[in-house]
Amino acid sequence: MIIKSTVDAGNCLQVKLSGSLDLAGVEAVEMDFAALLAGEQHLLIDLAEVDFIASMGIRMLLSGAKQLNRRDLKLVLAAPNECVKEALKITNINSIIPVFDTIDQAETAL
Amino acid sequence: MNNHFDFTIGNSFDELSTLCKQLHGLLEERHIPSKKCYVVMLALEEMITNTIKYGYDDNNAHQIKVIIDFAGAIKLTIEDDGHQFDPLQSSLDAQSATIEECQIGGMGIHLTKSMVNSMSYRRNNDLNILTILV
Repeated sequence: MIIKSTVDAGNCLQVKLSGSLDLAGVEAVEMDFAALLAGEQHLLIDLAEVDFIASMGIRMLLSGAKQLNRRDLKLVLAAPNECVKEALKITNINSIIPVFDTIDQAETAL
Repeated sequence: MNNHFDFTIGNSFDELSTLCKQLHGLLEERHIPSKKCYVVMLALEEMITNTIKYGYDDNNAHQIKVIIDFAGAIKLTIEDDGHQFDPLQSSLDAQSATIEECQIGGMGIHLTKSMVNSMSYRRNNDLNILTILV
């Protein structure tokens, strides 16, 4: 798991993750991810290149969303593959963090 | 082609990560469809993570045995000598669960139970034996 790119899109920071958000993946990116949460922008997490997510990864995203929400900022997820989308739905994370099929839809919602 | 593989790892996350890579390699060699591959990897990681984190009442080294069988449906068997724990009895209402409501380890169990075809548990000779069909 890597943070492949971070792009300042004006109203938000677009963060592209790539790889598996499993136990090892979360360990690899959690420090850098925490640093991104310290900014003053909404975060749009592009999941298009995330091929796997386990509960550790879901907890990392949830914890990030909560931190941002406390400062009136949002975290949104975009472009998950079918398996990742199903996992997000089963855990009901999509009732707490908005999940969009495309980057454009996510940007519009911010 | 061999359809039956046995692995034994210690109760450490490093060994679990190594096993995940080995198993992922096996699934790819066999061209297992991506959804099935996802579910096998999920079950393996979630169930063994819970065992390593919460399964033991001491700080000793323990062994966790993993058997994967590719004859017919993919069958994953996980055996550990932790205290008795049946994940099927873990309480989490699938409909009302939010992450805040999840007990420790509950989200991974809920996710796994929801995505596998079947899961059965038995306690035998002081071992937890979990059999998962994908």
